[in-house]
Amino acid sequence: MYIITNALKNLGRNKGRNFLIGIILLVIIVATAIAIIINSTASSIIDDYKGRFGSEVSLNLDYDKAINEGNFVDSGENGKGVEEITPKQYFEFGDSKYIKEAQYNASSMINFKDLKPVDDVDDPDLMVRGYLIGSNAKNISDDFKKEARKIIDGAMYRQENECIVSQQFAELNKLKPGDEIEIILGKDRVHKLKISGIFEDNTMVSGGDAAQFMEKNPMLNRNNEILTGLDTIKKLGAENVTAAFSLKNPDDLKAFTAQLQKKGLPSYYKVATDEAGYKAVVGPVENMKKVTTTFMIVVLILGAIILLLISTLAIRERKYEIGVLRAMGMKKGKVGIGFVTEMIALTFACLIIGLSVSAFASQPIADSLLKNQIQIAEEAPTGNTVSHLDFGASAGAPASDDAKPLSELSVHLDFDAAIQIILIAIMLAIVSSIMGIVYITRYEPMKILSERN
Amino acid sequence: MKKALILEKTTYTYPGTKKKVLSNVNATFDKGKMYAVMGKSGAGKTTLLSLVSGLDTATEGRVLYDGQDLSKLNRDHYRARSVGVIFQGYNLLNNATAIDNIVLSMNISGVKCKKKKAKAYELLANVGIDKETADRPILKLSGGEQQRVGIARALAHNPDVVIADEPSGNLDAETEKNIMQIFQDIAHNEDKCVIIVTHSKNVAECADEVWGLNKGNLTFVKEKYVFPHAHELEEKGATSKEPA
Repeated sequence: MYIITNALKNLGRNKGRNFLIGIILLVIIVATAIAIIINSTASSIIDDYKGRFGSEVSLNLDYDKAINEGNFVDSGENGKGVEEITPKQYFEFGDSKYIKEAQYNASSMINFKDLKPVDDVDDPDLMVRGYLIGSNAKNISDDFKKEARKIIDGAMYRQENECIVSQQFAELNKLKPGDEIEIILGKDRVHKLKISGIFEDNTMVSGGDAAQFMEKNPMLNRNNEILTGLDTIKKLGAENVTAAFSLKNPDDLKAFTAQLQKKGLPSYYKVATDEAGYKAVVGPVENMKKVTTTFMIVVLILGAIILLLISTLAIRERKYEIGVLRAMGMKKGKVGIGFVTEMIALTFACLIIGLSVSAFASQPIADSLLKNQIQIAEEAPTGNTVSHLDFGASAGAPASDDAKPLSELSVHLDFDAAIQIILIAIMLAIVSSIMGIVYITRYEPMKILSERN
Repeated sequence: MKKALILEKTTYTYPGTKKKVLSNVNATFDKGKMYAVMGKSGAGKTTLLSLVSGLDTATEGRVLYDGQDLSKLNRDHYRARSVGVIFQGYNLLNNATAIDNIVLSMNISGVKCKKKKAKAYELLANVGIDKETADRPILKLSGGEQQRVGIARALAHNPDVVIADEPSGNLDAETEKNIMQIFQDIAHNEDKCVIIVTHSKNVAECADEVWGLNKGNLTFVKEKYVFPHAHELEEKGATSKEPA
């Protein structure tokens, strides 16, 4: 206990030296703490986005590869056509241990039995007057997410063979929730569906929609879409399927690709995550993280060197103190503990001030750094020349051409960052007292005192 | 009388040299006695003190404390508990106050006392340091005051052996007399062994035995010192300054 008391008293006894060391420690701690706070927040954001962009998988046709492998070239005569992914394959692909979630949107062309579609035309040969759309997505589609469509009566389908119809279609045919409708699939397959709800469709009323200026055609009117569950349309047979796969772990991409190819995915389909989107959004944050990490390393190295130099210069005074304490019978270990305690006490005082300063200073510094990185990213040539040819056989994450970089970063001091800062501070305290400890272990008290005297 | 320290054929050579600073020294220092060791500068007095105070070890021979070889004892423990050293250069913690120096010495020695600070003030008062001076940093004290703090520190943990290197060098005659009285008291009344290296005839007169150190040889001069003729001192290797 007296070692700690003496160490604390020593802080006041050697004001000049400790003030100088304290200022250096404070500068190092503030700089390091700001870097760690920014890094920590940036890391969690990067991890989050990596998870999102890295887990959403898309299947895209690699046009060049397809041609190189002899596909799609003069498919009419000499070449073989590109194999499209069938709905059945999509459903098989989703049945994988690597998949966290598979979202499907399936559709089939239909006709109606004893029902009038909206914008109907008098054409007895017309076999298709609407679409049956099935999905397992929570919001069915972006239309419901953006509230361009919303349920106004009844409820969303829950059971097999339930569906929802548009308000216009329901009014035209005097339908209400609970009623049954009959749809015709293909030439003559009739199937009954029970209406569980009616939705309001606003996708057709927005100005500029091409449908308003075209001739009447029930196929082009989205009010003729019958929405149902994925199980229902799977059972009835989907003609077209789009799928969005989310991997459990972004690192499983290679294994998942191999599995898909084993299940029959042609090699000219590229299984990819949205790397370009990820880079566009998170790139500036990653660069900022690199800048702060480099800055932190430089500050730590320079700071440690300065601390070592100061403690070397101060060693003459300390050496005498070591000699006196050792001559009084204090053990080497206890002298060492005293020195380290003294530096740790000084470091913790600096830590309290440093953390308070850095908590206030880190946000404006992070804003400034991020702004700078966004500016650099905008000024730099994009280099994003990925040609994206979609032949109707793609699935997965949406294209990221419109991805915008993160423009705000709300930095905060979390537990892990605080622990890191404290550990670095302790390391600095040890570095500061290391010269003293070296002298304690190297010299006998008589030698130190005789040199002095 | 109980033997406190025994030097058996003790020889000391500085590392890297062949010159023997102490050569084949044989001496016994008893508890309850005050000794004066006199000798010219460079005779090896300080080396002798560093060996008996456990700050250094003999290159040949042995130094025994309570019958045990010092080189085989825990010398940190010996310095902390069994011996009190008054250095010629004081060797105090300069930025600490006088009282802190004494209390720290007590703490290192493991003195079990509830009122260490009060005891430290008392020790300092015994050597003529008042409370106000005791609370000042060592660097703000005069040489004489620092010497007295050094004496108080050496006595703070009640050691069996007290070793002093020119303890009265910076003291006025009256303080010197008081200090010598303290040394005599602790030797005679508290059964301690007090060894003083000195040039002072006054100090030597207070000692129970005087030893002379000349060219590394320690020789017994006289018991209960009566100042001898110069030629007698010269023969034994002991020199002195005339009292001021």
